[in-house]
Amino acid sequence: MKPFAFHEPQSVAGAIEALEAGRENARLIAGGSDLLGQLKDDLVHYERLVSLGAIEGMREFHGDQSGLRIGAGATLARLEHDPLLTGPYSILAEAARGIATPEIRNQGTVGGNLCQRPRCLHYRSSWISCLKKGGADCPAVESSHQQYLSVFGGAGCFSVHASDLAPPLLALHASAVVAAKGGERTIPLSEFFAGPEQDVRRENTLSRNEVLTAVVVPAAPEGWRGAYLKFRERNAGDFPLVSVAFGCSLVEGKMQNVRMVLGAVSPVPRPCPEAEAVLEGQRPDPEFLEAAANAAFAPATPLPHNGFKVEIGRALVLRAMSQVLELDDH
Amino acid sequence: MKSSVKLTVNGLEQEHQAEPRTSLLTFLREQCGLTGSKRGCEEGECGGCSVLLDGELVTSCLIFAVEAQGAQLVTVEGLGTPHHLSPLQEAFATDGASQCGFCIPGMLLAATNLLERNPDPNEQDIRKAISGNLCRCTGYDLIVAAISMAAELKKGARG
Repeated sequence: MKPFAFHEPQSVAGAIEALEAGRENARLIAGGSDLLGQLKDDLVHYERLVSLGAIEGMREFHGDQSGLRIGAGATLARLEHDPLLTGPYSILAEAARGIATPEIRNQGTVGGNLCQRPRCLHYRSSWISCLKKGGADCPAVESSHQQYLSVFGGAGCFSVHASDLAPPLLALHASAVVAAKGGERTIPLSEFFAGPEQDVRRENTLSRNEVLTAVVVPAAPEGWRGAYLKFRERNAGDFPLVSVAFGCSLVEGKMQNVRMVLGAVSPVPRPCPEAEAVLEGQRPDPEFLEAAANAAFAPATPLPHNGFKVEIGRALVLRAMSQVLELDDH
Repeated sequence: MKSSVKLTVNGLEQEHQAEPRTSLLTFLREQCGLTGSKRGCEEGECGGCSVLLDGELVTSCLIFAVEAQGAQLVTVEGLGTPHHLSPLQEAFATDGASQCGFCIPGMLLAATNLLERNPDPNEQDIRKAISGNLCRCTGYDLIVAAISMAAELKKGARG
């Protein structure tokens, strides 16, 4: 790890100033559980780290009838147990409980989880050149280590977004609050993430001097319930191979406000409007559920060694739907 | 450039010079001379370096020492002494929960943290609490049994 200067501003404005003064070589650090690994492995180098740890306001956590506002500095452990995360929002607590380990959940933050870099083994090795590190091509497409790669194409880079909070937050139609020098903007989370077709070296639309300060979750539709299921090799510590956030409300026996978002199968978390449309307004009969699971994965174009993620994904989607609709498991 | 990092470890104030890139684990082991916290994976996977920082279980390999400025830390050296083991250390020794011993400092801190919050944990609670601590020797069963036994011992002590 190369040396760097460490700044610990007391305010968001101070953090933006410190980023600007650091020019190209400054980087924000929150919990650090992803960044320290990358620094130790010499994947990235910065001359200046700007810590968000001393900014009290970034740990805010509010909820009322209009929804939730969760500071980007709130820890994942806070999400696991916060009494605000009940009913429709319990999907967020469920997702938080499945992230990494108890230690990492005490350190990691909501903002850090959304801004984490991919787990592609090729990206994570400083010995291997890849597009994300400024290289000329993607060595992963020719490799047999494709479990952490996309099954929905990749515009050159096939790494996937590993966030467990992104799918449920997208399912809840959350927005990102982004602070810059001129003020604050709120953008739908779906516009926060951006795949390799935008810029292969990044996974979101934050510009260099911006800070993700909070996520805002609107009030959920009446009776809306969701589930987040994550398939991984071990039950602790692992990143998802496939994950799904699914939710809906049942009105007079018919599904409404159907939301389905897949994680870890595409460069950015993947909403499934086609699958949602199959279910919207229907009764939760097995034929519709099967059709929705098929619709979710119909556009899949897996690589030679990760087709298994499509099969697991379909099963996981069916299981998530059964759980939310309280049906017997398939 | 080095700067002064001052924190409290096991009740004693420690002040040493450290570069920003020095991890809390390195600070504890090399500056404070407290080698109980183990350097395992260096990426937050194994839990060998787990310590309590302001009462929260964290992996000290993934924190810079400068970030812990002013914090209260507990490492395995702060749990007991050879003549006055903590109930958990007593139970680990009695139950044969330690084989090579490398994971035990982290296990003890995870378990200490659990029993502080939940004095009467069931097996599921215990397995969750140590899910960030890898052991390559025991298969975990004796560790889980020892933590359960320590909870009993502590209940007995409370009468």
